[in-house]
Amino acid sequence: MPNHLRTILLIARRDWLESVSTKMFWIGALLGPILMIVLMVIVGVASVSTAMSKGQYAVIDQSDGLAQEIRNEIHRRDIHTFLVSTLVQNSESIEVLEELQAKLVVGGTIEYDAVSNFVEEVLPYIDGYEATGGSVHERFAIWWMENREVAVDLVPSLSIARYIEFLPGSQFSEENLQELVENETLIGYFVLPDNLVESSSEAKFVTKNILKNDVAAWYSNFATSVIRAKRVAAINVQEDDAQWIMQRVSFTTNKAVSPDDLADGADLGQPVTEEVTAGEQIARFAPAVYQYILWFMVFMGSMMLMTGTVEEKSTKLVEVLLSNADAGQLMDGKLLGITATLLTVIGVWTSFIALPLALGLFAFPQFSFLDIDIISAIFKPAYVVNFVIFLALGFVFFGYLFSAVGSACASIRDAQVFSTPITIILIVPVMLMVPLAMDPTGMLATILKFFPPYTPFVMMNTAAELPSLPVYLLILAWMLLWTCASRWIAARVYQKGMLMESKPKGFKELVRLVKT
Amino acid sequence: MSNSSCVVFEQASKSFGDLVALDSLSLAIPSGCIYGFIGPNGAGKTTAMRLLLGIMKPSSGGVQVLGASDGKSARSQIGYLPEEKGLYPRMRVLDFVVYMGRLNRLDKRQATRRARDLLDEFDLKDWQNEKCQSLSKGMGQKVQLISTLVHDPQLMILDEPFSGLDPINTDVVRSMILSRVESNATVILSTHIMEQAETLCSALVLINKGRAVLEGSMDEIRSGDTVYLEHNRDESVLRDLPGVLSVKQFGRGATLRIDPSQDSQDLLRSLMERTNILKFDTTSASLHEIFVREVGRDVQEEEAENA
Repeated sequence: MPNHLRTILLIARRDWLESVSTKMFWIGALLGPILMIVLMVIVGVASVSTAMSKGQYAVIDQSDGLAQEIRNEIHRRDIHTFLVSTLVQNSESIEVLEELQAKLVVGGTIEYDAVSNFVEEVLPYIDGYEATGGSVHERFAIWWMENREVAVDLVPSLSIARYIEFLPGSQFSEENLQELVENETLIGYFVLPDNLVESSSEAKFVTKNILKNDVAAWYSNFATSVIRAKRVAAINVQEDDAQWIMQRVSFTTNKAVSPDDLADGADLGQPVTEEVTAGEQIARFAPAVYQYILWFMVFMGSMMLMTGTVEEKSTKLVEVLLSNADAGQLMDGKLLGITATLLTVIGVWTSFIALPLALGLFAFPQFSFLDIDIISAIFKPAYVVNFVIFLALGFVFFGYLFSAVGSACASIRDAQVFSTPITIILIVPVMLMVPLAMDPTGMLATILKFFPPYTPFVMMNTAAELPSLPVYLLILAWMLLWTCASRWIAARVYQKGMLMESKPKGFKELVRLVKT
Repeated sequence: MSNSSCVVFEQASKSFGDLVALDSLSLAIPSGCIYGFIGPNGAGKTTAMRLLLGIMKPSSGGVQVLGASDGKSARSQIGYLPEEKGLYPRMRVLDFVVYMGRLNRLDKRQATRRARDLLDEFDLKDWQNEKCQSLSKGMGQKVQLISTLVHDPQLMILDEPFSGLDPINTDVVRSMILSRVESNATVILSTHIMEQAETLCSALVLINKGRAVLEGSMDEIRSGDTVYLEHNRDESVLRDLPGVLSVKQFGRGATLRIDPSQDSQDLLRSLMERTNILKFDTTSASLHEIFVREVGRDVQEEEAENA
């Protein structure tokens, strides 16, 4: 092995061993992703629970009984949902459900029309008439009214799980309701004006927390359904006709199929198109996953490299090392050592988390949340090859620059200040991620592909539309050239910077280190 | 480069912006000797050593090392102990020495064998599996010295090797230096302890403000062949004096190297004919005195210029 390479490998091996031989490394590598998943779950749960209200609301009805119709609509939806969810699997052995099973389930299949009719017949007993328990409808209504908590336990998606209507007596004025809203007894109250069928301009929802509109949106859906039916009836249009009139016109997204891709014997007489699948649409954004990995590796690796370089200076060993190796060899060795450390972290994550997860999903496909189309979209060979090439170039390009900054600084704080411009450059690709993925062949993407700090990120992000081979090779050569330039500049700064005892006086001095 | 020279500086200069750290240094360091680099702090000694090691390139001139055109090419034959000493704190002592040996092109087996032998020789065998951070300052310094020796270099550059060592370890290091020279290696020793330089070095250079003020064998520097005088005329009166080999004038003072056959009393008479002699000293001075005299004179001159 050439001495040059041997020296680089020796330095890399030492740095790698020093990193991975500590308990903290393994604790961090093993617990890091677990903590990240736990945090994501906590944040997700917290954001859902804080985004959704839970509690009571009231309705002031100035119309002619619209509130009751909306209330019925809510019951209709909840009871229907409940029956459809529980009729087949009556896990609690509820007597009335067993009765309904015999009536509404035929050969293990739910009779949806029968369910709808049953719901319509139950509704009068829910809030209006006294149920005596004479019929199955009445018995179910009694069970429903008395066992709401059981119903919510069985079907948590029911709206009564979150929102319960508060029914104020006639002695309650709007002022009284405002007080209840103020002291947070109520989430809010709705006011249904007398002319709601004609216009909703005077309809209002009064609440204390003006940023939470989930209750208003939820109630609005039911109100819309009721009002729309009334409007349709008012102009003597059949319900089915009305739905047909209101139906949206949509265009399915297709793609042109090249004649070469058609099966033998296919008719070539006219252009052929194919509907775009969900997997193909996801494939457009799949490269973003790679860009995130690149960004993570560049950011984490560069920071580790920079701080490692500053620490290396503080050991006072650097002069001995520079008497045994070129600045470039030392820098390359350290970069390789950090790369090996990061790959070890990824290896640990893959072995202990991703692999068991993948095997688990394979063994229990019913729990799989990833479609095979999505997985194959993410791991397209072209993406993987493109990823490996530009991951290496991007990591090395930025790694050299951060090494140079670290070498010229006497403390981590100085290094952070001097690396700020490079850090700002690194933030931009994340900000441009979505627009570039949406338009991978646009002018912005094309220009940025030739702008070296962004080339790796943009090439990864726009991998769904890779350029032609000659252009791809041109971009690759251009990036290689700039990576070499980055090494040359960094080595010049590194050689002098590592021997400097004070921090550079400014960026001018960094430039002087490159020139001299 | 002569065959017996291990290192040759040829008009080597190094500047950092406006600062001239080394100014046209020319000297030849013979093989198989202990050669001293002495001078005050900031004189340019470390810069000279870095040029020698190839860590820096000279702004002009050149440095030949062990027959190679620069220190880089002779890297594996040089052992360097810098003034600022450090170890990797979390690395085991044996691993550290082996690592340094391997950086100097030993294979793993050779490096491990040499490292074990040297750790044993320096009474550090029991510490070989400990982490470097657990060593005392003196022990750490010995470990670094061992890592300088592990690849058996032909040229050793030791910058303040005695700093921080107790008398016992100082003797250990002295013995090591002497044994290296007996094995025909060359040792370049930079130190502020004049007594050490005086007893160890066979030749030296005194560097001040980037220039070689004195250079030669210890005998030449300390012998009566050198006359120090002070007079009240300019340098021209010292030209063409019989038996005088070279003259260095510093303000009122001057150092004259005279032919050993020259009678100093004849020289004094010749000088008195040309100028008023204020001081005439032929006694063999200690290195400490020479250092103070040469460096102090520069300081006086600088103060006079500023005044």
